[in-house]
Amino acid sequence: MATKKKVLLKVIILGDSGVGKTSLMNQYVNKKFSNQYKATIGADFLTKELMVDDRVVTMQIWDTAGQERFQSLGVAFYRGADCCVLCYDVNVAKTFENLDSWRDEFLIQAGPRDPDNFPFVVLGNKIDLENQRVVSQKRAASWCQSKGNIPYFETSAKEAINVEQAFQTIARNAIKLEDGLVFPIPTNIQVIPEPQPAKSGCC
Amino acid sequence: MNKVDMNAFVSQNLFDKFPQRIECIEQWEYKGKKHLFIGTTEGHVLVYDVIEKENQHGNIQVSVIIRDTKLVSKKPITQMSIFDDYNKLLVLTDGDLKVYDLIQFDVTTGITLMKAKGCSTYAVSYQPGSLSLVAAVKKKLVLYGWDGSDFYELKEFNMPDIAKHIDYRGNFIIVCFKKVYNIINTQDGSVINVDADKLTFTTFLQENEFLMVKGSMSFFINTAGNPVRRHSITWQDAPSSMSIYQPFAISIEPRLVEVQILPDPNDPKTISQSLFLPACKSISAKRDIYVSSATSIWRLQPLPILDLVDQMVTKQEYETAINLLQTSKDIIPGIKERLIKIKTSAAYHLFSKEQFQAAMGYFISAQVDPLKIISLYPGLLPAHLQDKLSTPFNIRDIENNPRALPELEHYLVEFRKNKIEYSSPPELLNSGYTLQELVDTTLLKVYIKHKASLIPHFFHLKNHCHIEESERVLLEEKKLTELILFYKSKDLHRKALTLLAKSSNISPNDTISYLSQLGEKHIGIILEHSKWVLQKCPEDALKIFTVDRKDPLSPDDVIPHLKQCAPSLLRPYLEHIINDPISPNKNPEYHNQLVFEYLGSILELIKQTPNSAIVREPGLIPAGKESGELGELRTKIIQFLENSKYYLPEKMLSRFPSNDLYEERAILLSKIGRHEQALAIYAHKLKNFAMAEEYCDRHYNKDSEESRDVYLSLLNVYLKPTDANTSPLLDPALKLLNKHYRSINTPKALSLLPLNTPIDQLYPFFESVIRDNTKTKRDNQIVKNLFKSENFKIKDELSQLKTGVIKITEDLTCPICNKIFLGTQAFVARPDGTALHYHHKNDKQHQSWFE
Repeated sequence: MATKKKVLLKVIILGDSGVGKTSLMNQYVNKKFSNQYKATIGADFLTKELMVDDRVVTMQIWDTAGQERFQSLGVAFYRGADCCVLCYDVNVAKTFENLDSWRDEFLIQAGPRDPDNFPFVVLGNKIDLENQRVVSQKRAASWCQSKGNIPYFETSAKEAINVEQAFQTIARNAIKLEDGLVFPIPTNIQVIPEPQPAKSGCC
Repeated sequence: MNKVDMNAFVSQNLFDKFPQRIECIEQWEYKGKKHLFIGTTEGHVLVYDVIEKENQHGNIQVSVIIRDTKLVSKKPITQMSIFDDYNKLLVLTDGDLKVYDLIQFDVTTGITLMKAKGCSTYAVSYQPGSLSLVAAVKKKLVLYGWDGSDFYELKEFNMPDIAKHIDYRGNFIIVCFKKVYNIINTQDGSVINVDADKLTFTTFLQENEFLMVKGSMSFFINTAGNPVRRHSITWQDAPSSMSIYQPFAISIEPRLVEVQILPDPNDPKTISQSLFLPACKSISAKRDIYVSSATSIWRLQPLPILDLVDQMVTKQEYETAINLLQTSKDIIPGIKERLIKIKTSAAYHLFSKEQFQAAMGYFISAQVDPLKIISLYPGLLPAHLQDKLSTPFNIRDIENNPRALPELEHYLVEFRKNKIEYSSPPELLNSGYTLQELVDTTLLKVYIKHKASLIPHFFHLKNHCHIEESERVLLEEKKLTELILFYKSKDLHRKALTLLAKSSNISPNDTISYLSQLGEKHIGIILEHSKWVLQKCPEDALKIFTVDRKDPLSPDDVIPHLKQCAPSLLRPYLEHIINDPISPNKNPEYHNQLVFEYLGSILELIKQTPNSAIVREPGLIPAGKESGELGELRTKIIQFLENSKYYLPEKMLSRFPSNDLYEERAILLSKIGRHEQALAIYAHKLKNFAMAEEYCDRHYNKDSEESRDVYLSLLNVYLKPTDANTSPLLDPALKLLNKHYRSINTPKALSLLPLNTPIDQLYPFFESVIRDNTKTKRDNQIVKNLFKSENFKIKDELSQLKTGVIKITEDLTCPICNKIFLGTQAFVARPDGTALHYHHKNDKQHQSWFE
């Protein structure tokens, strides 16, 4: 049986300044949240090991600077990403409207051969501030649908709502890309269990 | 691996036939003066002054003069080390380790390290600020520290065997045995045992990495015992000793001294020099380098680093040249320019070798202008620019090379992010291109060639693509969808739309969705280009005008356009703007227009009915209940007429037929307060008394002059039809009278009733009215008497209060002025028993006291 190689997934989080990219990452990896805002400079990453199906996967989550003046990442940074997480704040319309640009910008930087099938995941964050909400779930979901069925999650880094589920999906989608690169999986696979060799194999 | 020769050192012979047998050599620098120490088999340590003179060629000529000779031992001087910082000499001879002070070099004052007696070999870890020593004594290692003037014992380690060779750096000692070596961590005493057949010795390269020498090979090993580089160094022969003199490794081999540049881990190469100095066995490489055989000593003098760099450039070993320059500790004038020049050459060289990625790295780091880089890919620059640039070589079919193109893409994308420094290409002057335009247009061409699916994303972002050139290449490649996106990104909407209209394989829906994205700013274009889609598929095209925009279209532009091109869309459009839930349009003109639209359509439908089997009789079927579109439209118009506050009903009446659409007419009449006419329609035209009554219920208001008499009006309508052919409707009139007698003025009602009305039919009415009136009269009587008794009660209270007595004493003061009442001063007595001076009464500010 072929041994499964250890999987390292590179995940990049993008989105406008202040939508909660760092908080989402911190909530997922460290289970911590702080109300204090501190702009990210350049990029920073945390790693987390998780199980996807029966595989142990190490996810390297890159948190980036939303503010343009702190963005120092070159093309090389984006290349080799396995999944891109686009974040916005459901309470600020502009952050949602900018998702288009973030997506296009990412694709140009990363230059994937098949941009239409590159795995993205969209996170609408800060849903704990429900009464200030301006971007409806429907609107976001329909945007995601129009971009090739991007998985969409409504999250709250503060209340730890949906964060775990979102990152699980991120890992799952990222791993698909990794696998796809090694050997494209045909759509129909029949798994036939190998016959177990008889224990008393002495003849 | 190719072997490259270099010429990095020249050797100068200092001694040819040394009178004693040389065992080891060392050097000492003290107060700027250099000294050479020679340890001999005979047990002498000889000290020479070293004199360096520069000859006319700029080469250094070295000569030595004997200064001192000391007989240290009767046995050979096996090993020798000098610590310049402390001016101490360490000597291994006859199994003893002895330390001498060099300032007053006196053999008798040497200190023997007692624990190290029987030492076979030693090693020191000597770095600025730290000195320690390890001595191999039989099957033991003795570790010494340095306190600034003397060695002191630190630790001992037991060994499995007698050490053949040891090396020491930082916290690690490498001990070589016959077929294994041990890595000892001096901090925690841990030992790693590594098998190594044919092991000769090891030598530290840096803190945690050493070279393990095995036959004619050396391997890079870290202090965990693992090989750290994929490559090794191969020597011509088996080295017996080695010194690291950055960036070189100098190896002593039986017939020669071999120097190699320590290979770059990313691109290992053998770059070596052989110095044929036979039978050497000892080397001292500190500030200067000396090597010795038993009878000869040579000084190895490095050539200026730039010489070596030039050699490397000539041999196209650019990376080595760059590394040499970058790691050199010497101050080299013009190093920056030199580096740029070499990197540029390196870039071109690597590129010609099809090592595109590495080449691009050097192009970027040498800040080569983008034009030159792009020109290496023929067919990407506009012809007039490509002609200006001469490319040094051509790689076949590079513009389609799947390894070459991504590197250019990479470069251009990086360039767009302003992350690349470059020098401005002079060729761009008057070329019609800015650098940004050139870069973006080239990127587009690269995408066309190998990643067409990224083009839409590229055009969504702000781009500086050159219009004509981009247009040309997109057309050439028949990338029409992309061309349309391009036009759009450049606000060239007319061009985009013309193309959309022309391309047969693109559906009108694309034009529709394109136009839907343009705002009022582009109204001219929208009107112009919506014509054909409005005609071809009006239902879908309506979206152009009704879609949500940030910059909405003005109905003043849209309505005349629709009237002209697609009159059938006028109604849905008006409905859309008027029923908009967020900002409904309140312009009376549009409301009127919508009414006319409904009316027009309804009349058209009615006109068509005579052809059908059933002849329509106006008013027979209640409005809105008709089958089909007519019913729908009438429901709509009635709702609209009732609910809209903005249309002008006065203007409408003349447009509506007088012999049909009664319901609508009634609503219009009611809107302008002509209740009687409206009611006449319900009563006589529609004969719908319930509706008439409902109408009255809706409009009756006893406080409004206009609406006070609506029931009376209905009565009037019932009893006195204006049309002579219509007979009065007595029955509904009486019913109305009986039901709503309270809201109808009785005398006026009676005067309306025809004289021949049977009195018994009026009986319920009269009874109700009379009962009602009697009741009102009685109620009023009760109220009147209640008021009367109230009046009496108050009068009684007043007289009670008026009869009160007040006594004016000296203690009684007026609360207004706090003074007493004097003599016959007039005063006012208040019901609460206080008194006020009467003269305050004229003071306005005190009025409240008197109320």
